[in-house]
Amino acid sequence: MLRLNKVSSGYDPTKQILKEIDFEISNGEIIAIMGLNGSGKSTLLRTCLGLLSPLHGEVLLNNKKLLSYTPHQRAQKISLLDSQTTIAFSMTVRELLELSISLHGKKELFALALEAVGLKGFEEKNLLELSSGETRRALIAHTLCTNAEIIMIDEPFAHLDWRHQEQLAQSLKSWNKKFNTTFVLAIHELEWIIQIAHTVCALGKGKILASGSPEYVFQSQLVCELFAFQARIDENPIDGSRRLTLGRPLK
Amino acid sequence: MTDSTGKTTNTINVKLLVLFFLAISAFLFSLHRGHVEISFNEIMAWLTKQNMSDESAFLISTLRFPRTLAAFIIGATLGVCGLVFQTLLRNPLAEPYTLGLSGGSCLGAVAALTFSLEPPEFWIPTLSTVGCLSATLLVLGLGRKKLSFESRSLILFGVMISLFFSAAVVAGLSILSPQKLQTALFWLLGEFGTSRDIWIKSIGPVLVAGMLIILFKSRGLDALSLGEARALSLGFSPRKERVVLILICTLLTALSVCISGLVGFVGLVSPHLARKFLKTSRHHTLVIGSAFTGAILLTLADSIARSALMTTEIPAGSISALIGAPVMIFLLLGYKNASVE
Repeated sequence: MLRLNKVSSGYDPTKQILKEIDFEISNGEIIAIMGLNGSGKSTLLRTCLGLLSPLHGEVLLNNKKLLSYTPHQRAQKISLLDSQTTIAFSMTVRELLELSISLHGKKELFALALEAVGLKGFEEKNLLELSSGETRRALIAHTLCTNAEIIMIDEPFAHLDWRHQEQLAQSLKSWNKKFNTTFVLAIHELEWIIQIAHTVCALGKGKILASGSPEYVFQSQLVCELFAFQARIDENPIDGSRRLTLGRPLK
Repeated sequence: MTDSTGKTTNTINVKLLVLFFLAISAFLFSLHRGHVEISFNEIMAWLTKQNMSDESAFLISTLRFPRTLAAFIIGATLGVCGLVFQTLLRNPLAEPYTLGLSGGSCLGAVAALTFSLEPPEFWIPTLSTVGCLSATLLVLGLGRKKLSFESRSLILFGVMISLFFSAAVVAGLSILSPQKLQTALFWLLGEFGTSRDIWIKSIGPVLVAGMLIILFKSRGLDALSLGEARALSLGFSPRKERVVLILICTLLTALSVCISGLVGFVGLVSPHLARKFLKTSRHHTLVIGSAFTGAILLTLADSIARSALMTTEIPAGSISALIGAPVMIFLLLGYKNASVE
């Protein structure tokens, strides 16, 4: 379990991006972080990994200070794929996945992770020659291969076409069930939050506006005001899944 | 770390073996080539300590061997340092020369020369290291203030620092005596065949030890090649790994520069050639590959430098740039857009 106690964080001590946040990540959950651009989603994930040290407050992993773990121990517990991760030099998909496996993962995760992101048959492809969506999916597979207890992905659906968004959403759900992996996902695509998240945390101006079930958060007045929408969650008549309908706010 | 299939591992091992033989061939060729050519039979006789003419034995032991060894080890060092900086900064144009490290180092060395500090074998390496470290701190410190560590614009800071140090060196040159001026000028262009070649006996083991430490840290380089968040998620502290690797490369660059002067392009081109030839992203292979390609390039450049003209020598640094620049352009043209953005 990862817990943030009154954490303030940011890149510059004089500019706090997160302000006194209390946040808890329970084992086996899929948690979606939503918020407008610049609301502090990426900062929250980087603070949870320990890449950013809190300016105030403390981050606890299993009731022990996060920074008291060695990087090696921490990597077995938490893994973050941030939205800015890119490939700078030639590297095959196989090499990328094997990097995780050789350090912490299990060999059998190689095929499972590739299947989860729909990249079977891409093993020997050079990542510099793939599209941005394919590269992103390869990086997600690489992150899954770390076999960390908590996997955090900043914008998992960015660059992905609708078919692969759907596939990834289903894959993350089944990965969570099969391996009891905790997922923390910073997501802009609200329909996927409804589909896969057990808990939603809405951030606004560095503070948590609402946290709880998707139904609770999407009905929260603060969230509706910030996003300027009114939301309704019901059953999708086509396939019976949960459906999110958004409308303009009432004046 | 093992590659997925035995076939891939075997292919890479065979390619490393090819590079090893090419490096040995370049070394022997360099011993052979010069204004006075030494036959390969005599070289073999010298290596196996058999009877040979005193003149050739003297020529090899006192001139050709230290010079070739210096070019070989310094070439390998610059190749490895280039690889480390390219990976740490995630920038294909990074190397000690373009980051201004060699410039800082050169300024320190020329300062020792200008003020005739004695003994030179102490002051030149010391001031060279101080200059190199100052350049490292300036580039990274200034860059860190405004840019992320991995920003491609960081190289611009390096180029500016390099230009600044070059200007300071030129200012220093203007007060030198004609004899010292020529030494300093050749230093700026990179040269072997000076009285400093013999320093490789004491500096060489440090350079080799530094390269071995980098080889030992190759897994961290693999992780850092994906950026900070992934490196930490794979169990490596990005800050700690960077500080250690940068300090090692700073020291290696400074010690290399105090023997050879400014040698450009070897650190830039060697890692690219190694990546292209070995077709792997694994740094334990790339460190060895970059060392061999760097050693081959600089040893050959020095062989050409000393034998191209009958009457005089050309600085090895200018030959390495004459070879390196077209090779680099050729490599860049062959890259996909993503790698050179």
